[in-house]
Amino acid sequence: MEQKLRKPKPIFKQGAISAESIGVSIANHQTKTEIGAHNIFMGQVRADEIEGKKVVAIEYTANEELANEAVFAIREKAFEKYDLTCMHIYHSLGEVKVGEICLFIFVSSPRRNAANEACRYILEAIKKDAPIFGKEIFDDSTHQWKVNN
Amino acid sequence: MKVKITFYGQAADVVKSNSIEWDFDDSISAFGLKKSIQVKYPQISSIELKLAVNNKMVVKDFDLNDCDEISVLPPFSGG
Repeated sequence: MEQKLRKPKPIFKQGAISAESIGVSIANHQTKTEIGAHNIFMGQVRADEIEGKKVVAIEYTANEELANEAVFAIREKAFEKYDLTCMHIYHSLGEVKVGEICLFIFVSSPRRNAANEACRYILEAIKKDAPIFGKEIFDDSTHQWKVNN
Repeated sequence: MKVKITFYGQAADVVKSNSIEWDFDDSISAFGLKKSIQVKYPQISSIELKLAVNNKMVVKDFDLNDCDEISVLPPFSGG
């Protein structure tokens, strides 16, 4: 198999990840005809209700350099483990309102199983290993820190 | 010896500061520094913290050097 030199790519986008940019990303793959399966995960900010208060947004901060490196390591591992054609990962920084997209993972492979499994693997690894922090903002302007289960 | 400490997420929230500089007369290890932080900011003790030194996660203890940059990281909650 052809070996490509891969370098860390910045994963962060300021604010929400737009539906338009996701559409463009999908369209950009139509020329890669060796692909037979895409798997996409999109994280959306949920309007959780806690003790009568509603989440209206999540504000994300991160140690960007460390997070980019952590995600790069996850990418490399995913390419090793699964037969993948390409992979795109974006995470929001700053405020993302409920209903908006804060995480976009896009994995492409010749076959569906590899795409499915890799996407799940990447998602779980990002949640566990990337130093990103979500502050849940409530409708009364108070906040609490998000906890990943 | 001087080190720069940057707090992230809930840790920054609790200590009400993003970044501080600390001077030490003697050498100090990464875990030693973590302990000192917990003594200076007792309100942080209930948070499970990880450290990174110069943007490398600390897995086992070692002595810090002058001008090291330390990240104090609460539990990750991306996604």
